[in-house]
Amino acid sequence: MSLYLRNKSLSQTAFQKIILALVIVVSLMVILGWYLQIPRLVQLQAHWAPMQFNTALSFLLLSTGIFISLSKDKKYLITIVPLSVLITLTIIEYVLHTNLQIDNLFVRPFLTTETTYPGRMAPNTAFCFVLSILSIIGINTSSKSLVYISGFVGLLIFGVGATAITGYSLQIEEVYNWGEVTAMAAHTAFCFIFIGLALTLHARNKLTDEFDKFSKNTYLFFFTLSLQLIFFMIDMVVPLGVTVGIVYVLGLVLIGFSESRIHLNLILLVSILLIWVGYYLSPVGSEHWIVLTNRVLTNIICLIVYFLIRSIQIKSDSLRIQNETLDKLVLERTIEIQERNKELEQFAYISTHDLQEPIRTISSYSQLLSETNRENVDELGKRSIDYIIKSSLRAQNLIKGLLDYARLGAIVELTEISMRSIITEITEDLGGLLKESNAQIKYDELPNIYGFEKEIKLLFLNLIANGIKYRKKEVDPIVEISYHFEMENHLFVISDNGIGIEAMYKDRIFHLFQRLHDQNEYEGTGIGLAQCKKIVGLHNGEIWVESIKNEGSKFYIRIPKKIKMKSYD
Amino acid sequence: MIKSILLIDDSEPDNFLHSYLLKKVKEFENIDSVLNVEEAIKFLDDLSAKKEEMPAIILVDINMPRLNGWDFLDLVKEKEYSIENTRFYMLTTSLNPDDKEKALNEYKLNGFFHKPLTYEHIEVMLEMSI
Repeated sequence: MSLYLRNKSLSQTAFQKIILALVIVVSLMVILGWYLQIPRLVQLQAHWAPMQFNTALSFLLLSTGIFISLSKDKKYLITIVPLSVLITLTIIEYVLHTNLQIDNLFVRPFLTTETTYPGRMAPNTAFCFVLSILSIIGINTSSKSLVYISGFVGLLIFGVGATAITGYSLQIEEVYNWGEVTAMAAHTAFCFIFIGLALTLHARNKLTDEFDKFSKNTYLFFFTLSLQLIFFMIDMVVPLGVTVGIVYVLGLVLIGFSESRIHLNLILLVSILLIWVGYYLSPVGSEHWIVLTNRVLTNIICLIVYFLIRSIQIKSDSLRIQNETLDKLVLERTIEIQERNKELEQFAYISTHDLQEPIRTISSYSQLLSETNRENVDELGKRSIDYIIKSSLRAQNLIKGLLDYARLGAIVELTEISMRSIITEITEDLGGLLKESNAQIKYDELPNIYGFEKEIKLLFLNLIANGIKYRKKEVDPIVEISYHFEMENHLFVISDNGIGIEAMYKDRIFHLFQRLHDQNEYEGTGIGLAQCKKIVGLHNGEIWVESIKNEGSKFYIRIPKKIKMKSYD
Repeated sequence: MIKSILLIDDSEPDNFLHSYLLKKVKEFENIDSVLNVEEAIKFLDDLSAKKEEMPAIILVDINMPRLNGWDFLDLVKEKEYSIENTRFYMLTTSLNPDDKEKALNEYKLNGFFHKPLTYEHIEVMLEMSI
């Protein structure tokens, strides 16, 4: 029904699977009944026709076949082929009036029924199986019209089953018992109703999935309409009242699977019309008060079912609309964000080129001025030139740092990284600084981790370089990298013997452009630790610092061992 | 008569330029500049300990390492200096309109100027002080 929302076709196969499972249960019970000789299971009522063993076996094969076919698997033939053999042989027996010894092949008959051939399945049952086999094969072809026809064949099976049931409920034997031969059992009839329904829905789903969407609702509508009309014909012959009414109700339930409200309303109208037209036109028993009551009851049930379906549909509609609005909103936002990201990228690009350009000009001309004309300018001039040179250099560094920060995570690739070789590389990169400051980098066992290599390197480079940069003047800097095992995470600690950080600043240092030192004390842009935080964030990890002023700092990095790739485009 | 001015700014070139411009306009007794809030507080503490006169004008930047301009203003309030005759101005690169709002309405500063300091700014400050 349309209340299944997005998983509509999935839920519809769920419905089909449930009714097929019912058929399997019934057939297994009958098979059990035959083996254990329990008449109740085989026959239901003493004077009713029994479900033959071969019939039960056929149902088992058929419903399993349809079940497999529902998952679009061609292996359904595994059960359908033996079924076809069994049914063909049975038909040959009927047509040629012979006995091929297949009727009691599996069990000995223990029930005495008034049939010419003990243990043989009823001809109408065999006929329904033939239709079922044709239908399931037709559904699995790639021809649209064959799938269509197969769905209608399913409907026919449904009809035969329902007719037999009405025969049972009104004790009109002609309907389920064709002549002198074996009659169709009541549970056989029920099973065919289910099989027919499953086949029709199967065909319809296939039409939806593989052909156009239009056919789905229209198809279901005509299917239901035909069902109503067929039963109207039966209504003409036998005054069935409530029993025929069941089919009208079923029709309404069926059309509930359609998304079209018009179809539902039309089917309700047709049902009510046919119920009453049937009362006046039926040549038999139309004056009977029971028939009249039956039709009134049927009408009431039809209306109840109609309103039930409507209320479910209205609920699902509002849900669907909600979902659709939400989807739309998410899509809009995503597009918006993508555009913003592009703008930002553009902005970053402009920063490099258009902004760097004039600053570089300032820098180079002030340097030129300083080198060639220094003796011609006064003290103020000299000082001004020096400030210009220093400031423009700083501006260049800031822009570059900002750009690097913005670009972090733009293109990332998850790889296995050897932390040992990362640290070795960093040591080589920092060669000059290490020598000049007489610094030491210590580390022992370091693992391989999964992450974004370039970013991880930048992270450790920044932290190690900071450890050396913010050193105490009187002590040679030592930076130590240690690894601590955790079940789900990698924990790295980068500790130094530098100047340390006051507790009140330990969160602020990770913010962009936040600095704790004056330019002439320690140079810097206030970008490094912000970069670190962003990199750890890319890995869904955390970074924090523990530090004692004048004693050194410990930077902790915790990165999950399993990194979820986010989409960064 | 304006005797002394205190400049609080982490940028040394800015401090140099500002005191240069101020000197050009008028002869002040003293123009002191400090590079951060801690130094500024220390400077004021010293004055107050020696019972010397507080600066007539204090120009403070917003963005500085560690403590910022707002922190400075908060500290000044706590310290209870005798600053009845001192005028506070913010001089900053910040283009954020919220900052101006905050400076004038919340902190009741005497003015909010965007860098660089101009002769007009200086004139405004001098007129207010007469």
